[in-house]
This record gives sequence, structure tokens and C-alpha cells, in this order.
Amino acid sequence: MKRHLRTALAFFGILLLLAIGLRHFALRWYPLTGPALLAANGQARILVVGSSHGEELSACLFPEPTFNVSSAGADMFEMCYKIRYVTKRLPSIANVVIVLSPFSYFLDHAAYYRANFHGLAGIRTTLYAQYPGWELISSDLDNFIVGKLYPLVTPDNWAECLYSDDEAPPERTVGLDDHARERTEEMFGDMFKRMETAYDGVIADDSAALLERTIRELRARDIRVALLTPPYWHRYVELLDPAHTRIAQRLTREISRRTGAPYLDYALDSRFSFTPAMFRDSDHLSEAGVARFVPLFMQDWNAGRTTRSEGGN
Amino acid sequence: MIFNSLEFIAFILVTGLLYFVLPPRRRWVLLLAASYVFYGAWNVKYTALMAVTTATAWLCGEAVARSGTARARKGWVAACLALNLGILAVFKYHAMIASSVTAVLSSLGSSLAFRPLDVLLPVGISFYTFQALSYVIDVYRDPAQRERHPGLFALYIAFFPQLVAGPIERAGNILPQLRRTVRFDLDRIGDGLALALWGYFKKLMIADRLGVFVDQIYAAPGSFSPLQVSLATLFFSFQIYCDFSAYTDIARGVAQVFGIDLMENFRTPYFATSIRDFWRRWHISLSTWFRDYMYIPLGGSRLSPQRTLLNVLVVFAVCGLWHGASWNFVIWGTVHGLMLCVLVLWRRALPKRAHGPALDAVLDVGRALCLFTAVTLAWVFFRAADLSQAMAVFSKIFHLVDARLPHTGLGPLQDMKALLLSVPVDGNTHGIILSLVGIAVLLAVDLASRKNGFLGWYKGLGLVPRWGLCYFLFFATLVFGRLGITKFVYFQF
Repeated sequence: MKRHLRTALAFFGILLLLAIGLRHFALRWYPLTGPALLAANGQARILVVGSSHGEELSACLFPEPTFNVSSAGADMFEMCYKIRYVTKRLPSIANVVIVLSPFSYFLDHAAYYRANFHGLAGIRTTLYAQYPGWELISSDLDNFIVGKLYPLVTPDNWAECLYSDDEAPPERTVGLDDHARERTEEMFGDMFKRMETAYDGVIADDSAALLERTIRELRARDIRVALLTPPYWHRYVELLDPAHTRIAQRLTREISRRTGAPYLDYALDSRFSFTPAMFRDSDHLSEAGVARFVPLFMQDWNAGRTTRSEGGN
Repeated sequence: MIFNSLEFIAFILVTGLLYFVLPPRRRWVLLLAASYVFYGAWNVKYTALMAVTTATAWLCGEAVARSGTARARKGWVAACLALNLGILAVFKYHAMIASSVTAVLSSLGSSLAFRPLDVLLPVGISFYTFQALSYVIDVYRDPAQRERHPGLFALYIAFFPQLVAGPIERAGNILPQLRRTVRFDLDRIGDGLALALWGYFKKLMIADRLGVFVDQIYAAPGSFSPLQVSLATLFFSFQIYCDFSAYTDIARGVAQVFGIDLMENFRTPYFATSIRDFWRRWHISLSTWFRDYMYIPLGGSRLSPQRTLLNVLVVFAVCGLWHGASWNFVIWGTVHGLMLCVLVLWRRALPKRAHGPALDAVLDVGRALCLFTAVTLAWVFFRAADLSQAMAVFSKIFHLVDARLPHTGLGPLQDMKALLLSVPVDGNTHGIILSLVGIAVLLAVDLASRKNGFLGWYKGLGLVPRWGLCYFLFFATLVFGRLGITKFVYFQF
């Protein structure tokens, strides 16, 4: 028995040493970006969080130092996780801008993961690796553990780091209208159905409850919060499922009313110039669009104004 | 709960710990409870269905053993077969039956349409049903095989490592092991875990990576080039092998932790040199089941040559149907049956002759390559969603002669690489190269272990290579494996 125990200890001891060595080695390719991001944004006053619709809001256009932690496809659970993580570690943050996408209340990457949908699981690994706290998103233990194994486990399982970037395929250019239909129908058709069946509960209500709790925490710490929907090209809004849009609008207005955080909805706000030059694709602003939009938003927010979309909401 | 989930690893740790803490006489209770928890984690309601199959098989076994006349014994066996195959038909084949009957009626001008039932396909139903049936038939053939303890019998049916995707065990192999007192033996547990690790490597590093490539191409074969479709079909051969044999390896490895030796289900099938040889190496528990409980009772090869060929075809068509409720699977099985018939006729016309070791070895390589090509083409029926998709894939494959590699101007290797990278896997293009490395490791290990199986080969290694292999498999799976939860292909059967 003693011999067996010694053997087992030796085996696992070597395994641990190898893991430590490999992790050290792996950090050269996949450095931990979280602490560096925090250090670089130590003086930030504004935190922007959202999906790709938040990602496009360039930090340098805001009037005060801004830290944008938005990432493409981020769901509400991830957004709230980032808000909690960053505001606890950066006391300079006094304003939080939460950019809401049409899918924000209906998306859960953890559920996607369990439902065997490929390609999005890496987002959570990235999240836990970039913002390495010891709290996890509810019901996301699997991804949390995988995230803790970073950089032994990476979002792309090392596939990219072994090769140079120039071998990656060029990003497809996206047309404005034709592609928008295909992309939006695909995204909001099957996706919502899959999400709702994969999630264990009512996802929109859970997302809203989490958002409200997070805003209350921020308000308790005297942090100013704004809920924001950026401008979209009209075809994109038309293609959205009206039922989901109504739910999202209702939840956001209720949260806004209960927490006092203003909701600024520019989806079809006529004060913005809805010309093709302002858009990179159907639902993302071009540089010119962002440059026009951010000052408009800051002006409204500072004036304490709440906008109302002219779309059929 | 599936094998490649963290829940399963936690489940094994807890069950394993409790197993060795409990007195040996009570361990079967733990394993039975764990097995039902394991199955219930998928769908609690369907544990009742498994319990019904278990109860009916055990009661019929009792009735068969106690019946005084051959007629009564036959009657009980027939009742058990009718009931359990009926359950299987309702839950697995209702949609196929309904659509086929509707199509026939429609072709006769009738407007009657049968709707499929709104029921889920219970995971593993084909496996545990066949296991239950084999017990009743075994008791019919030899009443001494009867198991008097209903709890141990229920555990034989439900034993969680092999419950949902086999191997389809025989009562004669498992029940005596369940009565044995199992001691805590670190060597045995270590060997079991190494086998499971090999399974995880095959599943996460090879099968799941290839699966993304294959899925994308098979979803719309018309949108891809002949080379890409052919490559996807080739990759599916490895995907299905790695996926299914991985499940078996994990099942056998985990069972070893509990002191149970499950039967070998795969023995380097792609090194087979004839279709007969292939079925002695591929899904051995199913092929031997069909041999013992269907082919031989039909007369096997003892009747006329024509009848033997017919038996082969019928058995393979049913074997195909066992895999799934679709005509695709029936065709897949029939194609294998036809290959076996051709082999039988060929052997009758030209008996095998020895040519000397060197020439025989060369011929064997040639035979193995030909067989691999034939088996790979047959997999198209297995993988395609329906017959029209299978035809679309074949039409692409048979246009291969017009196909050209992408021209990079950097030489054939770079052209080949460009082809591989032309289908993004999970948004990145290079994952497929990792799976090719995995296939190379698989072939090397299969070659080394072709005589004694993985465990036999592994145990024969010295301490340093053994530990080195474990560390390699562990880190390769962790670093390069797709850790997403992807179900095993054979779960659908």
C-alpha cells in the first residue's frame, strides 16, 4: 500500500510540475491580459460595457478617460461580471455605460455551450482569463474551471498561436442590406429559440434581474449608470422579432424606472444621420458614425435627457 | 451526463470513493443507484422505461427457467422479444414506420397520413434492450445461466459505464464479476484510467475536431468542392472510429476502476484486410450479438450457399436498421452485407493462397487500403442526413477526377495545406491540422497495439514510457482538445 501511495504521489507530483512548467511556457504566447488592462486604465472615469455594439464606441471620443470592456457577442451575464470585476478594482470609475443589444436579454453563452453549439464557448474562457476573479457566473462552473486552466486551455485551443497571423483568412466584407437580412434572420431566428430551450429557466427575466442588481450595486457606490441602445440601420430594426424587441424594451424601461438609471435609445432616433456613411454594416456604426454618435449621447446623458426611439416600440 | 463533462468526472470521483468505503456486499446497491442517477441525469422519466425492460427480461428469464415444457419456454421468450422489440419500435422507429407507411399509401393514391408520436428517443435504448434480450435467450438455451438476484440483474442492464453506448455485454461475462469481491488495487485503477485517458484523447483531440469540419461540409455538400467533400468523408471515417472507440475505452477504463472487465469492442478495425475481418474488429459486441442471436438461428452457413448469402444480407440490413430509424442505415448495412457476399463468392471461386511472407504483407496492405476505401464510401450513407444528401455527396466525390487542389504557387504541400485550411473550424483555420497530428498518433498506437490491444501494449511498456504516454495524452487533450461538450455519435442509437 505504501509503495502504491508513493507511486501515486510521484506521478501526480511530476504532473503538477509539468503543468506549472507548461503554464509558465504558455504565458509567453498567451499572456494574462486582465491585470495589464486594469493597470493601463487605472485612471478611467467611464466604463463602457456591451457587445460589439459597445465595442465600436471608441474610448478616445468620450470626454473623460474611458475603459471599454465590450466584446463581440457578450451576453448579460458576461457584461455584469465585467462591471462587477472592473468597478471593484478601479475605484476611479464614476460612470458606467451599459450598451444593450437586441439579444442582450436572451443570450447565454453557457447555455449555448451545454446545447452543443460550437464556437462561442471560447468567449467565456476569454472572459475568465481576462478578468480572473474567483467569482463565477451562475451555473457556469464548467467554463469557470476551464477558464482557471488558462493558458493551458485557451479559447482556440492553441490552434492559432502555432501559426502566424498572416495565414488567417481575410475577414469577409459585409454588405449593408442583403447580408443584413441573411445574418439577422439567422441570428434572431434559430438563436432565440435555441437559447430559450437551452437555458434552464426564463432567461430574459434572469438577465433583467441580474442587470438590475448590478445597477443597484453601482448606484449604492455613487456610480452613475446609463443604459444605451446605439443607432441601427432601419432594415436591421425591421428584421428583429417584434415580440423579442417588446420584451427587451419593457424590461429596460422597468429597470430604468426602478433604479433611476436613464435609458437612452437611439435605435431609430431622428437626430442621428441615418446615412450609409454612418454605418459599417447593418447594425454597427462606422468611424464617422461613432464620432457623430458619442457626443450626441454624452450631451443627452449630461443633460439628464431620456430619448425615446421613434421605431415601433 | 456525458463522459466528456466535468459533472461525470465529479460523479466518478464520488462513486469511486463510496464504492471502496462500502462493504463489498452492499456495493451493487451503490452501483445500481449510481447507474440510475447517471441515466436520470439525462431524463428521469425514461429511467422507468429501462426499469420496465429490466423487470420484463428478469421475469421472463425466471419463467423460462421454471417452465417445464419447451413450448412454454419458447412462448416466454417470444413474449419477451415481442414486448421489448415493441418498446424499441415505438420509441425508436415510430417516425420511420409512420413516414414509410404514409409514403406507400400516398403512392397507392390514399390520402391517409400517419403522424409520428411525440416522444423522445431514449438514450441507449438499443443497447440495453439487446443486452436484456440476450439474457433471456441465453437462459432459454441454458437455464443454468439464470440470475436469481433481481438487483444484480438490474445492475447488469444498467451498469452506467456501458449503459448508453455499449459494449453490449453478455450476462455470462458481467454477472459473475458483479458477485466478486473487488479490492482496491492501484495498478488496476491506474490501467483503467490510462485507458480512459486514451479514450478522452481520441474523443476531444481527434473526433470532435474532425466533427466540426465534417459537419460544416455535410450540412451543405453542394457548396463545397469535390476535394473538400471527399476529405470530409475520409475524416468522418476517423471521426466515427475515434468517437465510438473512445466511448468504449472510457467505459472499459471506468469499469476497471470498479473491478469489472468489459469486453473489447474495437480491435484496430482499419487494419482489417477483408470485410469479414473488419466486422471481427469493429463493434465486436454488436457483430457477435447478431451472429449468435440472429445469423446462427437463421441457419448461418449450414444451409445452401444461396440461403447463406440471404442470411448475411438480412442480418446486415437489420444491423443497419439497429443503428438508426432511417433507410440510410438500412442501405449502409446492406452495402456491408453485399461486400461480405462478394467476399464469400470470391473465396469460393479463388481460395486464399499463401505467397510467402513478404508478398503476403504487401498484399495485406493493399487489401487493407481497398477495404478502408470501401468502408469509407459506405460511411456516406451513415453520415448523410437522408438519401438525397448521400447522393449529393457521392455526386461530388465521383467528380473528384475534375478536382484541382487550390493553386498557391508554393508547391503541392502548401496547396494541400490551403485545401485543409479552406474550411474554418470553430472560426479558426488551423484546428484541422491538430486533428491530423492526432490521427497520426492514433495510427501509431493502433499499429503498436494491434496484437494485444491498448491495455496489453500499455502494460508491456516500461515505467518511463508509460508515464510519458500518460502525461502526453493528458496535456495534449487539455491543451489541444476541444473541451466543449459534444455528444458521442453512438448516443443516438
